[in-house]
Amino acid sequence: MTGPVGETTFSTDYLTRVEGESSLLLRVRGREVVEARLSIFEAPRYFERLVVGRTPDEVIDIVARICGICPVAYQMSAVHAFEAGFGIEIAPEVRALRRLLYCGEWIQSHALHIYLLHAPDFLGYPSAIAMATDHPAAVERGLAIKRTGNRLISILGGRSIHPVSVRVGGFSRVPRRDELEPVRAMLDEAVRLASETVDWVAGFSVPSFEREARLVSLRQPGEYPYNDGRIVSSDGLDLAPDRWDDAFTEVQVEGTNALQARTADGGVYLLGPAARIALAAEGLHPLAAEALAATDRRADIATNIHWSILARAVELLHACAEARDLIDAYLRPDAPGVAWQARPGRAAWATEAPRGLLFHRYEVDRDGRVVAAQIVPPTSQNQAAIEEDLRLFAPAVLDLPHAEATLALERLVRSYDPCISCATHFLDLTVEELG
Amino acid sequence: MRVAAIEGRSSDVPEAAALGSVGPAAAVRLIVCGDPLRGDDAVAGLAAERALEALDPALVGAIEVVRRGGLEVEDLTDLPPEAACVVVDAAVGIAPGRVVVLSLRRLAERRPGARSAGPQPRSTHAIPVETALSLAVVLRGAAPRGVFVGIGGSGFDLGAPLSEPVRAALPALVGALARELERLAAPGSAEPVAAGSGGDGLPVPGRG
Repeated sequence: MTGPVGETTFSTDYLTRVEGESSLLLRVRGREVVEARLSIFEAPRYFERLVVGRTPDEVIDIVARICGICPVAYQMSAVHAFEAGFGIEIAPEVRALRRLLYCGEWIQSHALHIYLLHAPDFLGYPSAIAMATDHPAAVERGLAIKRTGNRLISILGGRSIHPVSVRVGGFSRVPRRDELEPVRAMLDEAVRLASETVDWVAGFSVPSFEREARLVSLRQPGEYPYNDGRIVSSDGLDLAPDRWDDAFTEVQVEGTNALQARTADGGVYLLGPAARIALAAEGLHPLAAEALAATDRRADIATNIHWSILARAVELLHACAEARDLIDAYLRPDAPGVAWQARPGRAAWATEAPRGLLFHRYEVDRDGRVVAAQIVPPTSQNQAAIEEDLRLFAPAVLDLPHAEATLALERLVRSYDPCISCATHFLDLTVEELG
Repeated sequence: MRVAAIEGRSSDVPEAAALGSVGPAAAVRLIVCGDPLRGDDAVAGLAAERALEALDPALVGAIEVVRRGGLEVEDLTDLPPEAACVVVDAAVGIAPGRVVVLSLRRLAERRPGARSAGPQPRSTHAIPVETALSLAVVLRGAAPRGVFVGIGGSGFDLGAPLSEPVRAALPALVGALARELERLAAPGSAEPVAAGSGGDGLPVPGRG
């Protein structure tokens, strides 16, 4: 599309198949990208203010409302923050149940993104609807896996969207073993279907794109990171999970309602499945580790974001297999939680949401009420990395016809599985070529 | 009131029943979409509570209530062939406070995003109603029997109250929802008679 003299503008009304509402501006002069900006214009996140004056258990229910896709992640970062701040030790059985709940969220979120949002890009379809017409079995497979995740969350969380059972010190209620049996049977099938998913996406043809990104995730010896672990990076960072703000900071960037995050030295970094596979694959369930090794794509996942769909598929298999193991080993806790007492001061923690590291920090007063909060979602941390990758990737598509170039850029953004509604809903894509 | 509520807190049915799929007695699945913290997005939940209270308890027992942030494809693909479905949600693309009732089958016949002379509600959630419905049609082979009952919203900010047009039109939404539930839960219920602008459904007078 031709704009003002000397400029060419590419635009689409919506970048679909992302969670949230934002716009992308790419300004190109010759072959040089002079500006790449992901602007998030949904209302700012009022949640950091909404929780002020609330008790910790109220906060846990409120922050679950930040996102309909990953409410468990918000609950987990919050509950662990309070427990760390108050010096609360939870029972191993409760910890296992929290991992099981997190497995449920990863399963439904990853299945949704792989099958309904991302796979159409690799198979040449404009939408999951079009893909389902030719590949109904594939879409049914994705929905079956997703249903298993939703069922897990419903059983453990009381409902699949915005669960209500997580409490400081444990849960409001823990399930009887017989209540887990129906989903245990579903998980046998989900493991099989997730294994097929890895094979399926490993066969996709992805665009060439290599860059060395600074990768950040949790890493926990002996297990894949969900609720625990140290914050590590591909360039040697090693922090306790409550000390994110020692090495990272949030900055306001013009044109976006979401704060962006940077390293203390101003650098950008990447979170999420690709970073976790690169930094923490040793903790994968043996079935997932074996499936990843068979693809021989671990290095590609670290350097080409388009392979994030494979990272997500491996994690999907991991979550299904670990969930099955956790149920097999389930011992109902004697009590759903432990008694606790609030302590004034700092309460902070980071956990791994499906899209990456999610940090919460609260300041609590003597009455046990929150007086200040900082919630740093993965998408706002990835936002700068998305812009950086657009800047690096764009020259490779500038010679393509307008529609193809635009689609290639949309695909790149979808590779990050951005959850814009977490960060502050539809992406309005505009690309301008200057000269 | 006996309501099989999958997601709600107000259910007084046993937990196991609340977590199951549509029971054999449930003639209608009511899918209530929205986030009670986001302004006009709370309206579907409010309307559902009031509509169910207004219905004959015998009919309520035949209604399964599913509360969602947004319509999920599985809610439609898992629906037994003989069951009907009512989706209630706030929408954008229509005037704030305007209440619409659209046949799911007729809604599914429209290409997602297509324009016609009729009402064009776009769900406030990530997967629009038309998209979830179209996907369900591909996988089921046909659209579920039932309707979308929607109201135009204007404000969806976190912590915001209902906008004035939506607050004023809430009784109209409750009335429309109750009428559709009563009709579809009754034995031998049929599709709504196609009427209204563009043949897209039955716009119900509301404000805006």
